[in-house]
Amino acid sequence: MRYAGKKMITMLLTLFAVTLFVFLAFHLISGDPATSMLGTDATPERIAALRQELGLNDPVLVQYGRWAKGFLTGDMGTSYSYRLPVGEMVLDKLPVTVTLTIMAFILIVIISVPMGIYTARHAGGWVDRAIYMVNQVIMAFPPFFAGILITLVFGRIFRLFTPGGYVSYEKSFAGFVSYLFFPALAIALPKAAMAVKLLRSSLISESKLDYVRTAYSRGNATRDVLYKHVLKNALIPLITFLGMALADMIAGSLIIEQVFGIPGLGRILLSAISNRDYPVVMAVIVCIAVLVLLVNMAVDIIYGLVDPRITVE
Amino acid sequence: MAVNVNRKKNYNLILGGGLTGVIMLFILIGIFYTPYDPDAMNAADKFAGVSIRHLMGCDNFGRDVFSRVLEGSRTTWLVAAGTVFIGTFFGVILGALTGYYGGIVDEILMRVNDAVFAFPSILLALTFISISGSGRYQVVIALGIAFIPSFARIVRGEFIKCKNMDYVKNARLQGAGDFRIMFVHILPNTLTVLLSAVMIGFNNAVLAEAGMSFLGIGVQPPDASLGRMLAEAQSYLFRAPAYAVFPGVVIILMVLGFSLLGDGLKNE
Amino acid sequence: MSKELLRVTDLNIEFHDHLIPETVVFDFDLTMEQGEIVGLVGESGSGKSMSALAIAGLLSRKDMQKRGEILFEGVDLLTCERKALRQLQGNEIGMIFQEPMTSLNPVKKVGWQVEEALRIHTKLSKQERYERAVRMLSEVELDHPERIYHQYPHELSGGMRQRVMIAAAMICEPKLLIADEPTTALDVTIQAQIVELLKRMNRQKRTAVLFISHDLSLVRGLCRRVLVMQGGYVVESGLTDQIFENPGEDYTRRLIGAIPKVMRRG
Repeated sequence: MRYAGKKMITMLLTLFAVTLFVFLAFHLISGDPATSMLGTDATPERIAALRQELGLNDPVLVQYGRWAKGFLTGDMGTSYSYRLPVGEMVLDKLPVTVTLTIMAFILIVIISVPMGIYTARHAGGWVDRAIYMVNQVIMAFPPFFAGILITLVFGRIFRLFTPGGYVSYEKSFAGFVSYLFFPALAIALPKAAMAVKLLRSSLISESKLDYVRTAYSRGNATRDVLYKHVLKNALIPLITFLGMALADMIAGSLIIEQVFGIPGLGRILLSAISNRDYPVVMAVIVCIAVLVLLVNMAVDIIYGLVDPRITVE
Repeated sequence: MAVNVNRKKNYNLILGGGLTGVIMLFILIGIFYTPYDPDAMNAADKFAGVSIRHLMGCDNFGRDVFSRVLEGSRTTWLVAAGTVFIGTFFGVILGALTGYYGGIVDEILMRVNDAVFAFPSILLALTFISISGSGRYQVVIALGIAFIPSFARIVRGEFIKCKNMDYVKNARLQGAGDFRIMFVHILPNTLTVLLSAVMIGFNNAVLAEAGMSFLGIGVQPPDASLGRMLAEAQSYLFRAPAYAVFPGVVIILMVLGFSLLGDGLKNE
Repeated sequence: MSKELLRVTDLNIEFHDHLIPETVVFDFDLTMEQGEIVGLVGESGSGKSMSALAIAGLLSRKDMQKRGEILFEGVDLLTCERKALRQLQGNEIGMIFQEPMTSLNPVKKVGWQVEEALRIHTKLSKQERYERAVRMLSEVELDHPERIYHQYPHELSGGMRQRVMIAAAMICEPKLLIADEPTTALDVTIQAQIVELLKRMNRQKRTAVLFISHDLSLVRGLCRRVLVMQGGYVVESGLTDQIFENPGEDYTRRLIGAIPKVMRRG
């Protein structure tokens, strides 16, 4: 418990650092929001009035505090280009990106754990070698290219889904999830290939350790040695990897959304970047940062549950 | 048994080396000679298929895809190399200083490093790009900065491991200064680890550059990059699938070559 | 004389994981009676651990070849079904190893590991298993067995872990305990305690012990009979006292010579 608490504090500190950094960076470059909102032909008096109204004359840290407080209460400012509350825009798209990432994550686990175990048990066999080669190629796939190929093969040739036929989750959750299946697959495949490779080598190196011999000496069958002794130990590096992969996938889904025409965070982030719509860019980046940090914390906690040695350190 | 394992190792090395060599060769040739001007448009050849004249067909403007792939691979390769260079250079300096001296500065820098490291590099690069604007140099700098923490972390770990070893103590006894110990004595001993980190980093950089250019916030026209070509090709996916497939396959071969090479070297 | 427990005849172990097959044990012979303690000594690489692992049925069958016979109560461990072998392992034959630090599974609780053999070989209920495990932990002289039951290996010292290993190996009251250099990784004072514990286990449970060590002083205090191995061959065997008084081989003499003088007297 003390361990979880410590991790929580670390996370909050990191969150503070990240948001402050993002705020300062955008504060420095974004120029004058009052000018951005009113246009360059506005009178100096109106700009000054708006500056006063927006609190732009306060010290930077006060502005940060106000922004952070607003963020926590869901008030993330107003989009320059859409004139909409940023909070609504982001919260509307967040479930899309999160669902996509979670689906991809589930796919990775479903694919990699059985395959990792299989290849480790049959290491050196021809199936193992074939999977190694296929994995090597899949790992080299940029996720968006996997997406393009999947669109071509499953969308065009086998017609298993309609490219561009995204269904909103408000309209039909089943349709939404089934449309997200192939994009999730595109995100999952390269990571799953890495996970298979990692789990395989982790299982093999664990199997050489002394405690495995002890387990055999008590009359365990090979199967039981694998599932009751080796697997849990071998999963520890995989958990680390999956945590990092998950963080990566949240960002990677921004790209895949473009390939499959999914209106998630990626779409508003990209249009905001090209329109220099800084409140939206900041909101999206901070949202993703929070997600990533939450994932990291979850991984740390799971880590502590799986590996009893962690808590003492 | 032993024989088989050995043979497998060499396969990785040979295949990876060969693949990387061939791609490098094409990139080199591409600097001096491309079959067509990569930017020359020819309306008559719009979406021309694969033929002797156009080895990979033509794109929506009638540009020769093969010539553009040659140019695009060069861009992608250079961006990746630049990224890894920045990441390694600053990563080594930071990692060496923090690992060797330790103390409060190390603690603070490593906390910052952890925070940045936990962040997907492409997101960091996106933040940077949204501030600095897009273009190939911005991409190199953005990705380079995003890659520093991972290198710093690896180098720091190695330095902590090495700094109490006997050969370091020995060098210190003989009066070598801190910088000499760090960069003449310890650094060469971290090269194996660093080399495999560079290989992995290079691949990540290729994929990240391609991703950013695909999103339209990386390399800007008229520069060709493999990611950009894929983004353009995606609109015509069903009419001219070859246009999308070739640049994608080249990215895969580039990454595959390096990762096989890395695996092969690791097992040597 | 009591009944014969183990008879190993002409055991040869050959490795095939290199280009040229390499034999590590030649014509190994050994008989053990029930309740007897036999020592197996030699330098590292002399083949003593290999022989012990073969008797425990722990040499993987793929890349090595074993010839000869290992009869445990009449069953040949080299040719019997895997299932039959597994039924003996942990139940009739227990084993403890050199490295108590790594021989326990780091992510499983001590109690779970101690009672594992019971789980595999008996139909005892959870509660009965718990009681037996706690009793066993106190029998190996660990304080607070109930607490240790719920601890993880990394929370214990090396000596404590070796006691846990002994408890786990002895929980089914096996007829044979193979102890492969059980004291090598431990401090000298703990070494003596572990040897005493093994002696007591042997007395109380009538468990025969095959004690493998390179430390002749420990062997002398514990074993009635001893086998000396060198380069894969048994070079000398007989009653411990006779061999110490009158070593027949140069090699044995050198091994005895390596014992510090103070301890030799004891």
